[in-house]
Amino acid sequence: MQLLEKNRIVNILASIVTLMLVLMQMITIPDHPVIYNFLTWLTWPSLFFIAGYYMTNKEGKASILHIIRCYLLPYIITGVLIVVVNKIMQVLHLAGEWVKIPFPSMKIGAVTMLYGNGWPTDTLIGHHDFGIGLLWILLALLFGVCIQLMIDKLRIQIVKVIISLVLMVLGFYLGTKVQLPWSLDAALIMQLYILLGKYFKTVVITNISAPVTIGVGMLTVWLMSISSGPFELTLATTRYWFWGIITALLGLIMLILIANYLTKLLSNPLYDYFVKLGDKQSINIAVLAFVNLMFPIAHYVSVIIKLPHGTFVIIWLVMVIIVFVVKLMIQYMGQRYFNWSSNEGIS
Amino acid sequence: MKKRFQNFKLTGPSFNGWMKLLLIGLIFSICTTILLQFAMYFQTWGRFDQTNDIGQAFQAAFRFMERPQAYFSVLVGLILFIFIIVLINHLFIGIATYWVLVIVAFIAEYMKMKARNEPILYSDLSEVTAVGGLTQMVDKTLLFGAIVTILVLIVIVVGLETWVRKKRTSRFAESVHGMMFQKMGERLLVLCASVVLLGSPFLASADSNRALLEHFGYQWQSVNTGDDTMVNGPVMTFVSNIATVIMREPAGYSAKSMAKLDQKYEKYAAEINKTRTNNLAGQTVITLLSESLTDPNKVDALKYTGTDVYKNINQIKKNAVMSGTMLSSGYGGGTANIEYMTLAGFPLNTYAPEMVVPYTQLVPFADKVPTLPGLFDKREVIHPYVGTFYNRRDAYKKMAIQKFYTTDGQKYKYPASYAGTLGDSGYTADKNSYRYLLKKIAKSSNKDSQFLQLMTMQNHMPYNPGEYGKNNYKVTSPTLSDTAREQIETYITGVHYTDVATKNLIAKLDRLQRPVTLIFYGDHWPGVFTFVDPNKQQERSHETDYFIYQNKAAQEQSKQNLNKHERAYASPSDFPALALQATNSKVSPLFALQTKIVKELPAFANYQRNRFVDNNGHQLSTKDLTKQQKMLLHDLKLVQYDLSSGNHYLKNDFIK
Repeated sequence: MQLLEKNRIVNILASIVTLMLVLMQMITIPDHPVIYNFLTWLTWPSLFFIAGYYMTNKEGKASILHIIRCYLLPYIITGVLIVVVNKIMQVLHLAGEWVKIPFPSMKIGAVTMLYGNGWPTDTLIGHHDFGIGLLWILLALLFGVCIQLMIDKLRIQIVKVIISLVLMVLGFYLGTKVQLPWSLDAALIMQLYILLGKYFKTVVITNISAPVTIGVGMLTVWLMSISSGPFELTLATTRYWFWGIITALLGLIMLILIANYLTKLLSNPLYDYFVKLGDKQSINIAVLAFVNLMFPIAHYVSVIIKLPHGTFVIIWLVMVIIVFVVKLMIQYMGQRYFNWSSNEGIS
Repeated sequence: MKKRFQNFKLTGPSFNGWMKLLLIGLIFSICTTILLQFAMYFQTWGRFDQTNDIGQAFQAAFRFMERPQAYFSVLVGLILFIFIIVLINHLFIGIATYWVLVIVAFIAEYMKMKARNEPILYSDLSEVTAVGGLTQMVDKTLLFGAIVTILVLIVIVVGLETWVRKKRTSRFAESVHGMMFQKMGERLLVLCASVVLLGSPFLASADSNRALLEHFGYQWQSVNTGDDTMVNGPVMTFVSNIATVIMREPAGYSAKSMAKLDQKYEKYAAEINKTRTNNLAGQTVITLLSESLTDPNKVDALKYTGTDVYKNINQIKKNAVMSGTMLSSGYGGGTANIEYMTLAGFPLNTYAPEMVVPYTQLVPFADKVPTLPGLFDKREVIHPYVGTFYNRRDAYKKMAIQKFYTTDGQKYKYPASYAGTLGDSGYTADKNSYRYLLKKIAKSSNKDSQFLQLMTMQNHMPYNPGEYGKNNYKVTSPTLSDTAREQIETYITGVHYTDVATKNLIAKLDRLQRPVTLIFYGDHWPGVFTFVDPNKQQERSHETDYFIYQNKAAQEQSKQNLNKHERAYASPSDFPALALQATNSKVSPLFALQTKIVKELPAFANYQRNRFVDNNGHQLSTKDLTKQQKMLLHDLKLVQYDLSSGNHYLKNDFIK
């Protein structure tokens, strides 16, 4: 399979992941626990797989600069923005049904941002009642790729696989103890998927029986979703981590095969539009995290549209549109004022 | 040599082959989990989601798939499927083998739940050798359906295997071959891995198994295994019962405390023995376990036309030296547990809750199993049926039984001339088994003491409609389905035959010169009264009748007047002490302790832990006991623990 085709598959996969990520953020978990659980098993591994696929082979400094631009910069900008907007809303007394205030003070906001925990949890500095929201994933991606870059220095492939597996187990173990700063637990857990992403360029998938493998993926992920609950990467916990790794792997293969199928199904113009959704994933995450943390979109939609059923789908679509439009605006400004390259890669 | 090594290369199914195997295995194991859970829910007991409605039962089974416990069942099913496929290495034969196992498991689970609201437990596997007897107890329609399904499966399998061999080059055949192992290496590896995974619960300790299950969300239901299987599924309940704890160490257990108990009950035995004059020589003591016998007149809401089917037994109770209500541990089954209590004199309630079948979980592993029969010179058990149930043959060896007569016995065979049945029934009529019992008494020597136990079969399930020919009894209330009503009518007719036969037995015992003491009891309710909820009517549905009858010779020898209602409510574990009291026999420290229990403690209500029933029928819990009663209960637990799984500090004289 040509590299170009692999790129097309991963581009489609990134767009699917974006759709799933938005859905996960908008879902009311107590109402739809199985859907949420199902999505966690597919979304998190895929995100890291994509990051692994686009890991650059540039020399040390260049690759570090690349991941700082991709993940750290959006994290810092969005984090600062959240803390500042949070303060402004407080000062102007705008908090209420229409705007959320995630942090009671600027200091707490800053500490949360510096620690990088997604949800309230026990941290090294004691129990922390606040979380930075979806932004945590940017830190996990940053450190995850960083660690994999270091592993990549090794020459023997089997050693890379073993170290990635050991780090994965270590991540699960540490996750049961305490939430490390900067989403390090999640970064460790996801090593295998980043490695798989990196190896994907060299793997042949044309001879895989797609319907059967998709069937296996669907069933295993569904079973895991109902029995084990979510793949709670934010807190780096899951009930059955061993079976979880296998399930996430099967789910990932399933998504790759679905993406492969879609590349053949979508016409070129449709493909281009769809791929744009997943492009610049870190901006997607940053926008989604900011909007979700500050603005109760579900509330807006439910006030405007009153439907007995299906509001949930509308909320999801609205959020997808918001993320997409804001991302395009940022991208436009980046290309216009900061000389961003338009074909720099999906991350 | 090189070729041999090549044969062990790690080359198994391709990725696609594995995916196909996994897909089939996952679908099958999900179906198996749903099917087994359906067997749990499609029942009349009314617990949790149990229902008579087939659709609702399936819905409940599907809902079970949303529970974390379902994952464990699916995983076990999947590993079992892979194990079978890898072992046989023929896809269709493997699939058929898997489904035959599932069908057998489904029928076994369904039938046991129907009879007792209890799933198949590990201890039940000892019954596998009694497959002939078991099939007789299965609903004939269900059995026929299962046989037809299995035959159809076999025909399909043979057809498909032949076709795949002939059309090797077709796409389908190639796909099937792609799923199989061409070389030994990977086959052996997968086989070993699946054996380890499936076999580890059988080697692990009870606590390790519990930890494994809890990892998969197991929520132990201490009340009963029926409830446990509703919450956790039959697979989890089965695994939770593989390794078991006989009894947990009671507080204060030590060599010193046991030496004190030794002395205490030696002294107490001496005190009792001052007034006891007999030593059982020349006497016969019989324990007669009447299968599923209870008084239909005492079943709430049940009304039938015809004469009183229990009048003779009620009359015998009045003439007996002692009689009352027995508190059974079972409902619809569990005979061997009740039997164990009557022979050993230990209640089941005081053992660990995980210990559910003493003959398989306790007796084979206990240091010593002192029993009432052990006090006699001749000790025989008669059972006009197969002897393979409940591991009785092995258990009896440790319980001092010398001869065990069964219809399938090699050395001690229950004679066919005493095995006549009534109508179309498959079980020996009580009147015939009583004849054999009388023959055994007649054969006893004048000097030797003799212990006999008869376990009847006449009133055992399934109570097929019209089993005894024309029914003289018609159920008028409550309103039931035709099958349920006819089954009850069959049961009532059976009780009538038992009632008449028992009257004749007593008459014949009365004519004997040899002193005979008969302890007669119904072991548990039959599972035929579908309108009775054994959980809502827990007390009533676990009450049967018992009496201790002595013929004239025995009464003369015992030379005492017993209070007929001394134990109006009795636990089966009271019977050894009561038998020794009735025969006015001397006791060992162990039986002195049991005698003290009978005299000073309310009866153990074996259907619920920490529950007792006093002589007036009032329910008590452990906290209602007096300080002395609690101390006595603790003494019993210490002795039970020492003899079963403790360090055996008690002297040998304690039990002799």
